[in-house]
Amino acid sequence: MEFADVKPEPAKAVVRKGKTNRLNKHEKWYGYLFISPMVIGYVVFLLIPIIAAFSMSFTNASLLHESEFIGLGNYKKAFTEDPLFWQTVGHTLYFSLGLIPLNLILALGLAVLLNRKLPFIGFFRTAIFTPVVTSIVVWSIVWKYIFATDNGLMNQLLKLIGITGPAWLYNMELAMPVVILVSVLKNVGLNMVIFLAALQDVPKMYYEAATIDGASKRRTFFSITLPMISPSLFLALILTLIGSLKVFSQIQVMTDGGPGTSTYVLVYYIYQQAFKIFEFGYASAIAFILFFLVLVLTIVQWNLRKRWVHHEQ
Amino acid sequence: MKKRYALSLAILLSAATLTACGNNSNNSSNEGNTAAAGEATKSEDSGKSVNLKFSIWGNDTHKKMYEDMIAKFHESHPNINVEIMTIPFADYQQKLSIMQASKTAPDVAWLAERMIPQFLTADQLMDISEIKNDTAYNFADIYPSTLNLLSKDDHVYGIPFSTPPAMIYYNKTLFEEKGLATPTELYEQGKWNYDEFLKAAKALTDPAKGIYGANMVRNGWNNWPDALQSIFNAYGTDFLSADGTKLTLNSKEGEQALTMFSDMIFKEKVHPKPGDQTTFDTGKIAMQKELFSYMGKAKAVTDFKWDIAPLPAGPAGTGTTMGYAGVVGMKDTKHPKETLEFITYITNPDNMVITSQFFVPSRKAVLESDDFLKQGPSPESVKMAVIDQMPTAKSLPAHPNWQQIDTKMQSVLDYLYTQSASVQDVLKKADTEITPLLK
Repeated sequence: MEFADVKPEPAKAVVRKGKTNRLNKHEKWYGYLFISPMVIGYVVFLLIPIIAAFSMSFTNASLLHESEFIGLGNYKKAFTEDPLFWQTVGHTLYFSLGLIPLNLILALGLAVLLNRKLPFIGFFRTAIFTPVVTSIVVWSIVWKYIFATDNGLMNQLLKLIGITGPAWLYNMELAMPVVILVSVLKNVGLNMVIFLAALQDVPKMYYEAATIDGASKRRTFFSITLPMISPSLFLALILTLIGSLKVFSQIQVMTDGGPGTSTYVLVYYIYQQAFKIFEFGYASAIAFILFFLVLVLTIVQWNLRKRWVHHEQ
Repeated sequence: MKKRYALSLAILLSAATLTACGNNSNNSSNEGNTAAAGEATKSEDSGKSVNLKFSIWGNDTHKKMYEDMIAKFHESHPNINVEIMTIPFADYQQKLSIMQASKTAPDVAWLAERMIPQFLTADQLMDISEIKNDTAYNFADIYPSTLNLLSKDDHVYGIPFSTPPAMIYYNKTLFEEKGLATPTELYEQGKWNYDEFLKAAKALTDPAKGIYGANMVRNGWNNWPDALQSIFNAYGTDFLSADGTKLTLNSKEGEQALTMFSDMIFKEKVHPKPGDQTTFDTGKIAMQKELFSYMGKAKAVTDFKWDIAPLPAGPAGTGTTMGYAGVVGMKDTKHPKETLEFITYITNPDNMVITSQFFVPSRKAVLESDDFLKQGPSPESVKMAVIDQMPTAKSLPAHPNWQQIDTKMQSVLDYLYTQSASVQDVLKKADTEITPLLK
């Protein structure tokens, strides 16, 4: 239709009009057909359940009794009556703040180290990336055994040098750091690959210019490398943040929220409320609090991007 | 041509996704239909063909046993097909509750003591009281005490089929090496109490070889009732009051019981630490609290000699607890008549003899039979550790709100297991966390 207004060459326009319209008509349907598997799956398994959960968050839905509409009751309960909810939020932030710097710095360090031509470089890159494609459940089970109290590999090794290791996963202060460490080791390879690709895209001429000007290695890194890879850094930061707020499997497998409630994080708490004690209404409300938390953090970061990211196409 | 090809491909793709999720059910209902058709031609007068679902948490050997039983059942009831569904114990209550809510619950199900009040209070279990009138079934033979949990106002809602008292499996070889009197000998002399138990545990513990004297945890550290309730009983306290409205554990007796357990782990170091999953069959546990159903695993041990004995006594007796499993029909079943027939069949006197190879029977005639005595290491041990303990054994705590109570108690006990709080503080915490759930 948009071509109908084109005036200068009416004859051509008519020809075009006919063709494009027919093409448009057909292609529109092909398009819909091709995306239909994705769209239908999205609507049936994601959109409808999300809307259902949102409406459920205003009820006291539970397996054990009839559900009633209670307005904002669940949200009020979470914010004012349930101390465990705030603890859970605290643990989630603890996990994120512990994981993100460690993960990003380690990934960047590894990427810089592996960004050179060395013998067996492919082997080292693969070795660090392999955990990323391992199942998180398998990974967590293995590390749970490594950090077992008496017979765990970690404490057996410490024993060799005469140290009695602590009960890593049965210690209120240590359990969360252990989970953070295990999560970092699992996922650091993904960010490393992103950084590695970014590092290889930095034009060599900048480094040559820096060498001629007599810039130190340190200065080169902070003034050339970091600004040039800032879009990738930003991408990795957002992905890691969102991923860390949704942490669940490691916690479920390694500590089951314990000891006590010291590793209760938001998603674990949602699972526990919904599927262990069947409070679907309250669990839905917490799920939506988490949703808005992720949304807000992402928007904030997206706006800060303008200040951080210097080199973006 | 190309376009047409693309179009048909697109249609195919979307059609495939649309039907993919429906596929399973379609297939099975097709199979059901053909099976039903076959049935109908075979025995037209025995009524319509019926498929029952039967959920258990047992292992493969249990499943095999039931499959054989079902095959025989099918001979006498050709119109009834039974399909077994296995769900791991840790997820069982959760999964069954959710299936019940989505109307996909099985017709017949195993239930453990901790699950029964939830389903019974929600009126989700089928009333099977007419089973009492079946003379061949001999309902009177079932121990009345085992029926308490599954009865309400003279109505019966299920039949217990496994009521195993907890006992001690001990490594006889280790006792002989140290020249110690065995639990069996001490029990015969009337001296088998927690003092002697601790003394033996201390003598048998050998950190260099990784050997622990005692282990009360048999089914994971989160299953605290299984590990601790018999100690509570032995010190003369219960977890909840009989009417389920008060936490009675926060008492002097409760404190003594928990202190004893905590000292075994952290002070005397004779008990594996929290999270440790060393098992008896490795030979690294001298005395292990276990159930009769462990017999199969124990019998596979070849490196050392072992035997069974009752639990030691505390100030208030042995406090023996028993495991508990019953078979129930779900009220929502579309085939109540067939469900009842199947429950009747698998718990009748003949079939309880078969299940007694794994499960301590709730029928007096089966429990006291020679066949059952032969299931253990020796008839004398089975009599001492199982049959003599049955009259006083108590089932584990249960409450309609059990899932919530259990979750809270698990995290409260972690303060003890991590030594982050004293026994008194742990009990106070338990009181503040759990009392609100008992309303």
